[in-house]
Amino acid sequence: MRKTNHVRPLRIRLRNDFKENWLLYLMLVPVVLFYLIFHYGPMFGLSIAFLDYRPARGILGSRFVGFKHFYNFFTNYYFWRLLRNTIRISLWSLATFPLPIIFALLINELRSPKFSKTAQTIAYIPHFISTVVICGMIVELTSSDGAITSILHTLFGVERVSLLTKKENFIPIYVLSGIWQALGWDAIIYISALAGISPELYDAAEIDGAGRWQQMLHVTLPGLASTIIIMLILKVGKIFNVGYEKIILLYNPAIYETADVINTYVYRKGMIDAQYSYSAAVGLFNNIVSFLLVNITNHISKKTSDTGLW
Amino acid sequence: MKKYRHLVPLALCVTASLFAQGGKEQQVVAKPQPAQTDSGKPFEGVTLSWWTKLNGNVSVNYTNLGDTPWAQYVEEQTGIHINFIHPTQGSEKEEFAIMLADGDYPDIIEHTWTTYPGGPSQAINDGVILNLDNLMKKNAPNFSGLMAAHPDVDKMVKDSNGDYYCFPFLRGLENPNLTLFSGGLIVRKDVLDKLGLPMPETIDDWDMVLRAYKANGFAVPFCTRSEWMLDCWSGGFDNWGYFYVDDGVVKNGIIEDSRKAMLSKLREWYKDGLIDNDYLVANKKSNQTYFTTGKSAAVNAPFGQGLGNYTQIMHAKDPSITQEDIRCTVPVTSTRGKNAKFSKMNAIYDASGVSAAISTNCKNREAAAYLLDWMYSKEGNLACNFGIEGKTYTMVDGNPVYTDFVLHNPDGKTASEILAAYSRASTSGVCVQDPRYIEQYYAQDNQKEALRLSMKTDMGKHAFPPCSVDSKDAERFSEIMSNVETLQDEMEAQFISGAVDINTEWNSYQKQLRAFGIDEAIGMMQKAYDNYMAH
Repeated sequence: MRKTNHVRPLRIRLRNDFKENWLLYLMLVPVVLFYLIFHYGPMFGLSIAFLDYRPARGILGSRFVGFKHFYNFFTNYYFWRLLRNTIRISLWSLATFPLPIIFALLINELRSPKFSKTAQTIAYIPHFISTVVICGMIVELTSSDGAITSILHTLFGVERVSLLTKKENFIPIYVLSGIWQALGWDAIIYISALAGISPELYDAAEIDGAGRWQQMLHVTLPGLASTIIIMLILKVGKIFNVGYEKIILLYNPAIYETADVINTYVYRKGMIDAQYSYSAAVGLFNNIVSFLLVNITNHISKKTSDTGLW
Repeated sequence: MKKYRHLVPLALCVTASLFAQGGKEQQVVAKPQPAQTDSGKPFEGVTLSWWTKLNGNVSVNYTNLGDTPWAQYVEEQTGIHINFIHPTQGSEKEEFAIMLADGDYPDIIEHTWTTYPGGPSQAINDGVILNLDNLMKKNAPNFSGLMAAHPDVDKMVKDSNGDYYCFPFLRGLENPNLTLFSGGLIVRKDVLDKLGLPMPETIDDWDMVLRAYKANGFAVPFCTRSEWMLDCWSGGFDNWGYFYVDDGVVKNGIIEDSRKAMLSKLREWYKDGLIDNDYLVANKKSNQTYFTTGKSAAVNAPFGQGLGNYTQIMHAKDPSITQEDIRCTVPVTSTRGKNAKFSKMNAIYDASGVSAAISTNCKNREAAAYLLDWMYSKEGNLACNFGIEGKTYTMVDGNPVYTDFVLHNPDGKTASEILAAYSRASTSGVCVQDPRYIEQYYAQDNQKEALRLSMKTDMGKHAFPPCSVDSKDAERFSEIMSNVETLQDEMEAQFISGAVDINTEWNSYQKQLRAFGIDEAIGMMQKAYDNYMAH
């Protein structure tokens, strides 16, 4: 780009820049349009949360009802149960957050590259199996004569009934299968971050007399810290968006007590009962809470460690 | 500047491909006009657009309904050219909503209009579809004739104001008739014969039979899919877990004592291992495995995929097991020899039934009415149920009989695929389903017997008619019922599994249902029913 000796008005700068780089701008058009059409456009659709939306009348023709749907949701008999289950399942999922990090550290310590590659591949294979298939497998394995039930029966004398019909089993099954599904895949980002740590740091630590354990504490973990924090913030943002597809595929009426979450409720209301406005209101509430959580975590993280998403 | 020149085509491509996505949603296939000129075709050469979902049995062989021999035959007979428009399979609901918001309605819209928010009369108020009262009188002699002969069906196909709004898909015209049944209780009769037990009719019979099966090595005597476990037994207790009508009074069985009696019995059977303890996660695949591998000896299953498939699979494995050995029982009843008061029965026209309405955008309404009315004529009925004479059926003693082209297709196609291509009754299209169709569609004798046995029910007198609560009540009603149904599903499952003790918790459960407003909801349904009967 041309060098300028004095600062010209913005309009002229823009015009000149456009003349020079119009091709780059042209290439930008699809991306901007994509975001406008598919990410910003739909936000106007959220307005149906404040309407009694009727498809035939459209957004402009439907009656405005203010916060009625929000009020109905907050006063619903099941509101507290949905909220409790959502938070409980999320916190348990969040508690598994350190596992991929530990797994990445272990892989990193392996001497044989062949073994470490094999271990890694085996660990992330489940990620590529579709959720529907995974859930089919889980239902099969936990049925009254499934493999998992049989093992638990032999070892601990657990009763021979389908594990998924007992409400206390749902969260363990959900969380443990979640670990199995995601462990290898989630570890990839940490493994690549580990590869980015300069070997010189390890050499220096070794000269200073640090053993392998101390090297991990003082070189590896600090090197991973920013990645860990960003992943954590992203994960906290998803607290209210638990993986409802998996829940819908796994739950049944006998375990609604522990398995029914806000998102599955939205699904039943919106898709099955066709109450579009009501489910939009619940979904909006869900997203506002998620947005606040991300902000708060980010804020705390910046205060304490100077690392943040923005 | 020059260095970017080679990027021009790339940038244009990317931009263009983004815009190219738009037009793919609807498939409209245009075909040449049929070149016939006949005086019996008043709307020769007219073209109409028709929005309808594409059935899976059609889509295996055709991308558009207009390509099927059925559609070509209809065009030939009526002289009207039809452009079928299909929503993407799996997202019909969303695309229907988008079409409504668009306001660009095709001439004919085939849809489950009873599920329209606020009912079909609201669709007329919203300016989507036409009130058909006048067209029916003047332009639909066949349909009007049928309705005049069957006043109870006539009531079903009108909206809450008593107006016509559609040309419906009807499962027969008599109540009950063979087309209304699709599944029931199936047992291993060979085992019963060996044990000297009769076919079960009442709950006590069943108790004896299931215990005998258990004692003779069937680990899980009875299995069925989770959604049928309660409904398939409730007839034996004169209970029905939905809204129903008793001498003009609307009731709901979930708050009656008979419900408690049934749940207690199921709890006992569950505890004794007589019914599948995994029923909450059971599906058609697990049912099939259980029954065909000798783990179960009784099942509640569909007559086609269940009774038909099971018989074939078991016969292939062990030729000594035949149709004679796998049989359907009568619907379970409370009194021996009497019809069941309640049993699983489809309605002639219900909330799941599709119907074709004429949209407000339609330019040639008379032609649309003529075309739809043709489906109810004698020729139309044969075309929709049996296809093309000489090809898919022949007349024997005045009755249409399917040819081997349908039943034993030379190209190895299944009967359902052929019927989906040559007729429409098997895929819920606008027409009256003919009982003679279903009787032949089920090839096996034990299936034909199952249909006849299923008729031993009084469900027709008690089923709640296809009407919905007043639009003023609709929101409150759906709030009540969504709470009620969630709690009901949850508590009934736990009563049966024993997670919650029915003897101590039943009363507080009933109190909670009342607190949700179940009585208020019954009142709303009574009002809807009275209004329906008054028209």
